[in-house]
Amino acid sequence: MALAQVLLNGLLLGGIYACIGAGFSIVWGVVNIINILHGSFIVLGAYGAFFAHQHLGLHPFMAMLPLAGLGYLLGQGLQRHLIRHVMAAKVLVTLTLTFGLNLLLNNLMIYAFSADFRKVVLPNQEPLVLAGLTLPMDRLLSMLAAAGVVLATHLLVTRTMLGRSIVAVRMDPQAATLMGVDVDRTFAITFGLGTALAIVAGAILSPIFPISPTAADSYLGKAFIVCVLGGLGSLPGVLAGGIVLGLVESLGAFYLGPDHSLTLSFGLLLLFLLLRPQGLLGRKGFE
Amino acid sequence: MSQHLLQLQGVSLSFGGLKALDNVSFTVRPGEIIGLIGPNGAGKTTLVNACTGVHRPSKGRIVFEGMAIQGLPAWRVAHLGMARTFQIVQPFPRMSVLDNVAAAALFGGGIRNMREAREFAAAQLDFVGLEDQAGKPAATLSLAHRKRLELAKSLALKPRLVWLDEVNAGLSSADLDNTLSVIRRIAARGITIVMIEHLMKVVLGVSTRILVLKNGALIADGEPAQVISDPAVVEAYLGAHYTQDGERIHG
Amino acid sequence: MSKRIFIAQPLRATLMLLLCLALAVVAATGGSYWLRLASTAAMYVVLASSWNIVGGFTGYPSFATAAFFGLGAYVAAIAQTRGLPMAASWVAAGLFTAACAFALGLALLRLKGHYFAVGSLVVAEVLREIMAAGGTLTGGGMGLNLPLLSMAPQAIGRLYLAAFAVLAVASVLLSWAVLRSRFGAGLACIEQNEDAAVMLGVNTTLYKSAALALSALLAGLAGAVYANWINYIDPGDVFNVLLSVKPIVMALLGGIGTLTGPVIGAVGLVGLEEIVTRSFLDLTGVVLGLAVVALVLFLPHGVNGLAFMGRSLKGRQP
Repeated sequence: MALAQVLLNGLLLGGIYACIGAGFSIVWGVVNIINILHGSFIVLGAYGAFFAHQHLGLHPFMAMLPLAGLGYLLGQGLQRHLIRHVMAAKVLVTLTLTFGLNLLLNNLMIYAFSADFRKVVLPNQEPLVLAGLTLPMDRLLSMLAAAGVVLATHLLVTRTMLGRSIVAVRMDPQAATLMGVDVDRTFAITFGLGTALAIVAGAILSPIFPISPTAADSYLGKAFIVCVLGGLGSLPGVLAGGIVLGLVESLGAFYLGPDHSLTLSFGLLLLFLLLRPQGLLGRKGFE
Repeated sequence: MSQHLLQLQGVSLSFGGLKALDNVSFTVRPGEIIGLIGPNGAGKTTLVNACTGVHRPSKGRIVFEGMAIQGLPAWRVAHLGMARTFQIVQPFPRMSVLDNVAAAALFGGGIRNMREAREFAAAQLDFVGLEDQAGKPAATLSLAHRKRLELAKSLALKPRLVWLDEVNAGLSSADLDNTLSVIRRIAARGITIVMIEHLMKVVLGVSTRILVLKNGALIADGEPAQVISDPAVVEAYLGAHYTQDGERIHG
Repeated sequence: MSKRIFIAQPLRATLMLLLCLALAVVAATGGSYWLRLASTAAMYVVLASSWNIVGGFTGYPSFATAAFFGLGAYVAAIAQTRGLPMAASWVAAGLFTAACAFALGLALLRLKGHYFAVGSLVVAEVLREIMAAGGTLTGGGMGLNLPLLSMAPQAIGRLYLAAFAVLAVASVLLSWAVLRSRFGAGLACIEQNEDAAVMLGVNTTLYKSAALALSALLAGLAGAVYANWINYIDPGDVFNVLLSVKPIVMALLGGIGTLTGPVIGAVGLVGLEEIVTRSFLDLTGVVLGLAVVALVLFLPHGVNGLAFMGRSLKGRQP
């Protein structure tokens, strides 16, 4: 029975992790940028939800939409005015740029908000009990919201014109240009989308995990793992990666203790990189 | 056996379900200039890749100068005296033309001293007519010159056999005449040549023997005049209704 | 274009000479503050040069520097807690780390670009967790203490500066030797077109792993000396990701793939950080972030500026 509960916890966590990974995967897969800022964006989103709750009384799920909009503008602007200039350079240069930007943002947040942990405190709800298994309401709702966001993004990418141009650019930027797609604009939109997704993930997390700029690195780490496990370039992959990570963490914490579950996750990441870099559902490519 | 420079024995190569090479067998004797022809997708470049260590054959043996080389890594094969050019040229873009060739001499060519490698490289550049480009970065070369660079690099590997993979694609007819003479001069150096070519003018002008590949299988192997009037060959290129007794093909 | 080369080379040589002079002065007469600063700078010269071999010469953007640094620190510390003399433990640390790197490289270096970067980053994370879980052998999360030297503090400071300085000079000499050698020529070929390099007879698997091993030797030695210098190590400290990232920024600043680039970058960034920390305190991270961003946007080739030269086989200006 305990095992079933552990697995369920893992699944709930997994949906949330998928949301954390979604924005990162899109930016890496389409624009070919490893966005070190991703973790800090998530934390920024969490702060946004926190202050919206504290000063405006908004539930994080309500604050999500306007915050996402702001996030989109931020990301798109960043790509168009800064990152775009170094995209022709080596992998290393864009990586260092996003690292520097992250240093900037993260320390600004520490300066502005201090490193103390905050949390969005929502009125307590009775956990749902099904077949002897306990489902904490807050996690369940967050997981549903997260899954919803990932699904919505998937629909956006597969059903709209915008989505199709994003996919075209991912597959072959040169061919896409020849077909009339404005690749630069698509990159900017995609980065904006990735940022918006990170902000939304942060908002979804805000009632569950403590908020602090120092948590940014661990979110980034999880996003990495989700993408490598699940494979770049597909949102179903992100979902798969998130669920696997959630299960691994949950099982790892149960059998090895919380200290070692992190090692397990990273060990798994390394294993996948060495043996199956395209992940469970991804395609090879995008070095 | 010692008369055979290269021997393929029942070589097959599959990629997943696709059979790229199907039971290919032939021998190459020293001094030959062999034209390897066939329709697109016939497996010509795959054959070169198999012989130079890029792919390992699923079946069969490849014997070069008496040594079985199938499955050897590509870098090892480069040291053994077999070189190839690439359809899409692969220079070291930021190195000078001279250093591009010297790199080949330094590694596959077995010259361990840098100065000597550069001297040997300079001689190869003279041979292909690129000596006045020696100091320029390879990335700045025109297509025709890049093709010659590929050739010079191959020669710097001190090969006994060289695979020329479409060295003429994209060249003007003036450049073409030049290439023909270069090929003859390479042969005059005692290097055996196998050339993948689409241009019949080139193939018929230089080859001592022709191999025809279709769908990964060898469908003809013999003297040029014989091969091009072989009905199977005509059909492979032009379709069944062109096959008639006495029909001649114009190059 | 060629004029710039001739101006640049003597300038760099003069700069190197001046740095050596400054180092000698500090070693002989400096107080503990300057000794510490110079030691830090020398240590980062080693780390930046180490990275440059894999990242600059070979073109593989490694984030494993922290992994090798930390591993070297732990091997030295563990060896000394078991009675091995300090100098011997340093040598053991360097060699062990290099051997591990070679073996790891055979698998890791099959990855390219981003995947390699991420993989190399993760190695440090995994090693950190392993050390933290190592119980009494590694001291676990509490870390390890190293035996103190029985000398006057200033003399100790000079000794460690000397150790770091020797390592720094050795790193530059090693890099120079690599650049001039056939091995270095092979690395340059790999960096510019790995597929072509293979076809021309370069054993790329061996060469890449050897480059990683060389890089790890230097980083491991630096970690070993660091362990004794600080007298105490713990997993979070010696496997810190900044130990991987700062050397990269330094190499970028000074000029990737050049001989003196890492030196200039290391001394420059350590100096900059020191000035910024003293002036800005709380906002240090912000200012550093701005500096990195500015560097990347305006000087993508480091202080070489816009005069990015083609590289010859020897890795130097043609």
